Amino acid sequence: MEEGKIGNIEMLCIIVNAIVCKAFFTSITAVIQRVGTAGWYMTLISAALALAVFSLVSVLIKAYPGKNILEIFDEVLGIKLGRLHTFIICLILLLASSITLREFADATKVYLLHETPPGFIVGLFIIAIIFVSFLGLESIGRAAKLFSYPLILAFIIVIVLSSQRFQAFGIYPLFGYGIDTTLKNGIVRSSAYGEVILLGIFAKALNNSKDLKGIGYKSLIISSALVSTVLLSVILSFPYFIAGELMDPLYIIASLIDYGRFLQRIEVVFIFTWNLSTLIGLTAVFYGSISCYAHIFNIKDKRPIIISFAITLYILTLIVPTTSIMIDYVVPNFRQLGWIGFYLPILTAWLIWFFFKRRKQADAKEN
Amino acid sequence: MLKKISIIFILFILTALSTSCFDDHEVDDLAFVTTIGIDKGVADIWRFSFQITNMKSGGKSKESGGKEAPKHVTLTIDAPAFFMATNVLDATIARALNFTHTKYLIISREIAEEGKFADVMGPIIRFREIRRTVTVLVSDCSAEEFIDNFEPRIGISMARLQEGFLLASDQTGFFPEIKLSDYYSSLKSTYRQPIAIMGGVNDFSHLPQKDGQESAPQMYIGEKYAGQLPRKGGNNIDFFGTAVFDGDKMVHQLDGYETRVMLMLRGEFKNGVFAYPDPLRPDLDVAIDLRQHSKPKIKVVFEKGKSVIYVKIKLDGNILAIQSRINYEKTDMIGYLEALVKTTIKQQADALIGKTKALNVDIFDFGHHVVKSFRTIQEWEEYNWIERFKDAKVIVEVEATIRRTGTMIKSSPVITEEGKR
Repeated sequence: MEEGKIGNIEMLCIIVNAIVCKAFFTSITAVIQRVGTAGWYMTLISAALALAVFSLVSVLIKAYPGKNILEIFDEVLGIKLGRLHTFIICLILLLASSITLREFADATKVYLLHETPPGFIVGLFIIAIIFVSFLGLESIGRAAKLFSYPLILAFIIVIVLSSQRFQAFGIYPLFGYGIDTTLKNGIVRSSAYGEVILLGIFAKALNNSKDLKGIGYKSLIISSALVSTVLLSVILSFPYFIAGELMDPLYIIASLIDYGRFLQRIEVVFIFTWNLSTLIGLTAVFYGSISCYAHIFNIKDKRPIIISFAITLYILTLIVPTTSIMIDYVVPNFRQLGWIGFYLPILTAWLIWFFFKRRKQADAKEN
Repeated sequence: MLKKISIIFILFILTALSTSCFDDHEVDDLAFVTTIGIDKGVADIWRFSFQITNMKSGGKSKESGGKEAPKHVTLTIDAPAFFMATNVLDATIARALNFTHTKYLIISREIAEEGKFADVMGPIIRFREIRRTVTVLVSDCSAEEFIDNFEPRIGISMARLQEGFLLASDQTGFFPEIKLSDYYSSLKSTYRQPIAIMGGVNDFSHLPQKDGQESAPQMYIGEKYAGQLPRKGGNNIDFFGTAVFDGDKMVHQLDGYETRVMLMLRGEFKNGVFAYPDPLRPDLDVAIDLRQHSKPKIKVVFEKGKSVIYVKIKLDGNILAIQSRINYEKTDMIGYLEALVKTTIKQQADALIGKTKALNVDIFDFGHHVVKSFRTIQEWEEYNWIERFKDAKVIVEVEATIRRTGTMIKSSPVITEEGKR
C-alpha cells in the first residue's frame, strides 16, 4: 500500500485541481440559480465549513502519526465499521468522478465535438486516467505540478481579458435571494470542497501531519479563491437571470473576449485549461477511490483493479440517459447530499476518538 | 521490457485514435455565413436570408466564361424555424452552413415592431455555432434587401467592412454597438430595456440636387434616420440611430443626435464631432470633437418612494473649426464654447429622457444604479423598476471642458481691402 513520498506543492496541486475542475461546468449555474448574486461569497461559506471538517481530519492524523485516515477509521471504529466508512468514501469519490466526467463529456459535446459519441469522449478520457493511474500517485503529483503553472496562467489570462465585459452592478442586490438562503446553500453545498478528504487518504505520501495541515488549509483557501473568482466573473459578466440559464458560463465568458480583429476567439486557451485541470483532478479522485477499495480488501497492488474501476467509471458516467436528468437531479442531489458521504465518516470517527479514545491515548502515553 | 512495449502499444493506439475524429471537416465542406437576416415569411412563418462568403473570391474570381464570380452569395428561404431553414439549405448547396464566423443578425423592422423577434431568437442564442458577440441590427427595410446591399463598395473585404462598421460606432457615436449577448440579456432584464442598431439601405435619393433654385433650408444631418442620410457614393448601407424596445417590441427609433446623448448617459460614448451655431455669430458654425471624460457619475436617492437620479456627464472637447475666426481659444473666451456644449447636451438629454419616460423604457441603464438600493433579489423584483421608470425624476448635469484647440492657438482675421473681417 506504500505510495512513496510526494512534495507538498505536488499534493497542493492535486487537491486544488480535484476541487476546482468542477467549476468549469454546470455547478456555477446551479449556484447562481439558488443564491443569485450572492454566489461568489456563498462558496466561501462552503469552503469555511470544509475547512472545519478538514481540521478534524488533521486532528485525527496528528493523533495517529504515520497512519492515513482509512487506517484511522479501522483503529477508531473497529475493522468492520471502519471499512464500511472507507467504502462510503470509496463510493462517493467514484460517484464524484463519474459526475464530473459526465459534465465534462456533455460540455465537450455541446461546444466542441458535437458529432462525436459521448462514449468515445469518455472512453478516451478514461484511457488517459488509466494511463496516469498506472504510474501511481507520484506521477499524478508530478503531472499536477507540471501543468498547474500554465493552467493558472491560462486561467488568469481568461479572467483578465474577460474583465472588459464586467459590470459592477452584477453583484447587486448584494444578498442575492436572502442571507438565510445563502447560508443554507453554503452549508449544504460544502461537499463541493469534499475532495480535500483525498489528503487524508494520501496522508502517508506526505512527510508529517504538520505538512498535511498546511497543505489542507492552503488548498482550501486557494480553491475557494479560484471558485469564488469564477463565480464573481460570471456574476459580473451576466445578470443573475441569464447566468442561471447557461450550460457552461465560464466557456461563454471566454468566447465573449473580443479586443478587435486581432484578439478574439481565444476560448481555445480556456479549453486547454478545462481539459488538463479535469484530467488531473479526476485522476486524483479516481485514484483516491481505488486506494479506498484497495484498503478495504487489503489489496497490495492497485494496478489490477484500475481497469475494473475504469470500466465501472465508464458505465457510471454514461448510465444517466439525458443531460436534463443529469442537471435536474443527479448533480444537484449529489452536491446537496454529498456532505453525507464526504464528511459524516470523518465526523463519526472524530466524535468516537474524542469521547472514547483520546483519554485512553493520553493515558497510554503517560504510562 | 514488457512495460516499455505496453507504453509503445498504448501510444500507437492513441496516435491512431488521434488522426481523425467524428467532427473532422474540410474547409470546403462548409459554407461560412457572415450575416443572417430574418423577415416575415410568405410561404411560411419566417423568411431567412443567409449571406455566405464565396470562397472562390479569395483566389481567381473569374468563372469559366470569363464572368466574374460574386464574392458573396445570399440564400433566402421561407421556413417555420431557423434550423429547418439551415437544414434544407444544407441539402441544396451541398455544403453545411456554418455560423462560427457570423458577425451580424439583421431583423426587419416589421418583425421588431410586432414583437416577434424573441420567438426566433431563442433557438439562435442556444445554437453553439453562433457567438454571442454577433451584432444585432434592425433594418428599416426588409432584412433580405439589407443583406443584398450589404457588401463592400470600397475595398473588397467583407470582414473589413463588417468590422469597420463596428469601429464607426466608437468613432462617431451615431449608433450603439449592440451584441447578441447584450440584446438577449436586456430582453429578460429587470434593470433595463433592449436597444439595437438601426440600419437602412440608402438609395442616394435624399441628397438634394442643385436645380438653379435658392439653397434649400439647412438639414440637421444628425436628426436623420438610417437610409435617409443626404449622401451619395460609397456603401449604400447606413448604420444610423437606435431601435428602442419595450421587451421584444420595438416602440421607437432614435436619430443620430439622440443616440449620441443616449450613449453619453449610458457611459458608452467614445468620440464624435459636434457642429454648433457659433455663440457670437449664429450664422456660422463651430466644430468640436467631443469625448466622454469618464463614465457618468450617477447617484440615486428615494423621495416618497420615487427614485430621483442625479446624472453628471463629463465631456472633454477639442476645437476642430471656428468658421467665424473669433478667438475662442483664449482663456476668457473658451467659456463660450464650454457653455454652448453644456447647454446643448443638457437640453438634448432632458428631451430624450422625457421621451423615454413617456414610452416607459429605461435605455440608459439607470436600473443598474437603482438596484444598489435593494438588499435582495425578491425586493428588487417586487419593486419592478421596468414598470416604475416613468415615475423617476432624472436630473442631468453636464460638465464640458475644451482641452485642446487643434493645431492653432489663435484665429487671425482675414484681411480684405475693406479691412479685417
